[in-house]
Order: sequence, then C-alpha cells, then structure tokens
Amino acid sequence: MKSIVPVGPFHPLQEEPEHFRLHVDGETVVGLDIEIGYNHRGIEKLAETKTWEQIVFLVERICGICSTSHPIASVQAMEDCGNIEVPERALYIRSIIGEMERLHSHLLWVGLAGHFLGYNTVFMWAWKHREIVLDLFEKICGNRNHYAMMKPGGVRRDIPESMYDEIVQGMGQLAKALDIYKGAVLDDPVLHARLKGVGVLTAKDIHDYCALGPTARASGVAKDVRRDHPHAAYGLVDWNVVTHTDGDVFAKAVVRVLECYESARIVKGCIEKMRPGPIDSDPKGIGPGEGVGHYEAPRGETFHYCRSDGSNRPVRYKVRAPTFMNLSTNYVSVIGQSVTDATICLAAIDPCYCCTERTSAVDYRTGDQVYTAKDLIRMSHEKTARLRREYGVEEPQL
Amino acid sequence: MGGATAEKIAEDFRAKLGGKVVSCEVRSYKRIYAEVAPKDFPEVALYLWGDRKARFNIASGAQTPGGFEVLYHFSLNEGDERGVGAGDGVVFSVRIRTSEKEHPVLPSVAGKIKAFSFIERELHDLLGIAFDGHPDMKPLLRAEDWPEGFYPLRRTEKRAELDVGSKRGTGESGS
Repeated sequence: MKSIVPVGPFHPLQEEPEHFRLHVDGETVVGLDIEIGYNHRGIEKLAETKTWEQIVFLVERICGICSTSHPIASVQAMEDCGNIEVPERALYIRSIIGEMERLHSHLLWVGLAGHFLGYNTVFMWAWKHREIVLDLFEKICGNRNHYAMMKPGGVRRDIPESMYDEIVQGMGQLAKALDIYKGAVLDDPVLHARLKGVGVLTAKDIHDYCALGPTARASGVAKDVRRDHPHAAYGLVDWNVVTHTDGDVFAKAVVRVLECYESARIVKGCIEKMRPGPIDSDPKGIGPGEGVGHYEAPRGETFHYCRSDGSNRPVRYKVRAPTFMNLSTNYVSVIGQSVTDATICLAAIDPCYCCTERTSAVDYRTGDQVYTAKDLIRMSHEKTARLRREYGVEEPQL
Repeated sequence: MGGATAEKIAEDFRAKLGGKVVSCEVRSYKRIYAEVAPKDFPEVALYLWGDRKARFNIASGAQTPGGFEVLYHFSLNEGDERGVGAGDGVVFSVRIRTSEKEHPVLPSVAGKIKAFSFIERELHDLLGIAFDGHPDMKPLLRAEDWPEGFYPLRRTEKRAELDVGSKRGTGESGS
C-alpha cells in the first residue's frame, strides 16, 4: 500500500524546522520530497548593510553549533579580497578554536545519533564530555559558544600561556572519553545491526551532488578543505584526513568519532608549536575586489564570497553552508530503506538547517508580528534585571 | 608548486575551450577567475566537473549596473588517482553575465549535474533569474505566500513594497 509519511516541519526528532515527505510502499521508502526555507533570515541581504567588522559577528550567528566556522570562512574571504596578511600566532589560534568546535560538534552528533536510535546512554555521555570543551571555551573567550575570536587580519583575543596546560589536559581527558565511544559505539553489535549497510552513498553519489565533509569522507572521497586548500595552521601541524569506504551511516559515525582524535591532536600540536607574537595585522579596510574564503566546518566546507567596492561594506555577500550541498544526498540515501531507518539516514549528514537557510516571529494566520527585535531586547533586559535581583547581584555602574 | 598548478589548470582550460573563453586570469596560486558566454556555460561546467573532477562549491549571483551576473565556484584538487590532494587546491570561478535587467534567463545545468539544482532554485527565489531547462523550478527558500515577482536580493526592490501581512490570513484569528 502506498502512502506518504510527513516528517516535520515541527517534530521532536530534531531541533530545527524542515519538512520531508517520505513516499512509502508498505514500509519501504520509494520517494522523497524535501522542503526547506522555514528558517530563512535574509543574512546575505543584511550583510550588505553592515560594515566588514560587523559582518563577522553577523555570520557568527548563522549557526549556534559551528559558530566559528562561518567567521573563519568570512575573514578569509575578506583577507583574500583585500590581500591581507595574518600573523602566524593568529593562524594557530584559529586552528585551535576551529578544532575545539569540531570536537564539541561531532560529540553533539554522536549524542543525537544515539538518541535517534533509542540509545540514550550515548546521548548522556556525549553531552557530558562536550562540557570539557565548552568549559575551556568559556575560559578562553568568556562564552561557551559564539566565541567572537575572529577578525579580518587575525584574532580578537590571545590564548594566554598560562592556559596551555589546561587545554592540553582537556584534550587528554577527551581522548580517554573517546576511547569509551570507540568501544561502546563502534564495537556494539546492536549498532552494527542498525547502521551497517543503511543509507549507503557511493563515491559517485558524492561527486554527483558535490557532497562534503564527513558525509563525503565516509564514502571514500578524501576531500578536506583543511588539507586541500591549506589555511590557518593546518599545514603547520601533523594530522590525518580520516576516511572510510562503506558509505553507510555506520561509516559516517566512525569518521566523526575518529576525527575527534585528530582534532585533539591538532589542538595539542598548535599549542606546542605556537610562539609569542602579534595576533592581528590590524588592516585598514578591505580594498576593492572580490574574495573567496572556505573552511572545513564540522559538517563540511563552509564557503563565503564577498565583493567590495572599497567602501566599508560589501556590495555582495554570499554564504553557503555544508548542509546546502549535503541535503540533496538524502534523495539517494533514504530510497529503498525502511521507514524506521529513514530517520537515521536523514540525520546521518548531520544536517544544520539554520546554516542552510541563513527573524522576527510572525503569526502566519494573521500576518501580525508577535515579537519585534525591540520586544526581544526588552524581554532580555527584563530577564537580566530579574536574575540580578534573585541572585543579589548589583547593577553595574556605567 | 602551487603556482604551477593554477597556471597549468588555466592553460588546459584555454586549450580545451578555445574561443569560448572570454577571459581567464590566474589571480593567485589558489584563485582563477574566468568568464564565458552564458550559452557556453553548461559545456564549461561539464568540463570542470566531469573531465577535471572538480567539486562544484556554489554559485553566487549578483545584480550589477549592467544587468545580472552569476559566478560559479569550483574546487580543483590535482591529487593522485584516489583524489588525495597535496594541498595545492585551486578555486576556479567562472562568471557569466546577462544584460537583461528585468527577466534574466540563463541556461540550467541542473539536468546534467544534480548539485546545481538547489542553487538555481535559490537564485530564482532571491534574484529572479530563471534557469532555462531546470527539471523542477519550484521555490526553495521562499514562503508559499511570498508575493509573486518580489526578489529580495535585487537592489531595485524597496522594502516598503513588501506588505506580507495583507496577503496573509483569511480573517481567522489566531488564539
């Protein structure tokens, strides 16, 4: 019997709105429609009204998980456009921040993948061990996410030498935790049964859809922007590109878990090699021209393009997140799967829709704005004031 | 090493496409910018993606004083037969332009290379560029009640023209 199973746009499976229509024959998926656009925020249009330095903060807010991948790609596009040099220490710091982000992002996926499969122990473990990285971030930049570290010409904050030991220890702790995942996830017979041979993508599929990141590397396509187009400090430390040949969901899990080890290794390598020095070449504006910047985000290559007429704002700014390319591989990976396996197939690319679509809240029935930006700021101020009162914190004297 | 790679790629490109290349410039050891006529672009895309095994990154469209242009970005990694690059990757950007200011139409590549499907739909949503021959040109990002003919990335569009509220709803009040 043929029918349609709608997934989303509002559902408890993932945190973001997207809509899949699974056309099923009995329990087998025979067709798929993908609808996105629920989270489009007009960031490219907005970028044309911002100065170059403001854009880095704007693109940082495209995504809450890979919140430093967009800024790295963005500042690299600006540096490409304006021929701006970056001091070596800043390159190391960019790689450290980027790899720590990859660690917590991959752990988040491992946790969610466990959750989708009903293996909530993994979910709890992964989120517990993410805290190691998030705590380190809080010490480095004052925030668990949205680090605000990047700027054209360098980085905004140095990593003090007094923190080196703590970072290296944190990476050691994580490596131990990763050993648990390797044992409990990758050697678990139940997970083998659920994930092996499921949602297979071949190297040809990857080339057809120009898919990226762990999705491509799990199908034996050894593309990694960090190595293929060297930037930051990736050409200065030792590490390996992790690949797998099977192309199924299990292979994607293996690639992500093993990549965490490489990330920890890159962070340690950078800490060992970086020397004191300037962290910012302090460029004065971005000259006229056009530039491309790309960075291997946890989900694959993030690509930014900018065009400057020499003023303090771009005339065109383009953002392409990895999910934009990876999403259409679902047309291949879920066909022929059972409905039960379709969910993990759809989740296997580690989709990120807020990235893909790049708000004010509107009631769609009436068209009325529910909250404007002003309302949200006011509510935020009110909440801060309430928390201050509750915790007995004094108002700051400005 | 890298410089030679970019020069070689550009040389091969000129040799293969001959008179169809309007311009081809190696701007640095990792960036090449070329321009071709819109009608020749499908052939160029098939050469880069098919023969050279390039990965299509994305296309960025823009409205210019003379009309519209689309810049297609490809990543090339000259590696061994397994595709393992040696860190000499090049971004090859191919530009096509049209002087049509109201209803630009460019040739679609989506029928030949699946990776072009989403971005051609996005360019249609946001800039109003139609892609001739696209197998399924439905909106990608636009809401279904988005006003017809309103393209937010065009410079000529005024925000005030977008009165989404009045187009929505049938009088049924929300709770």
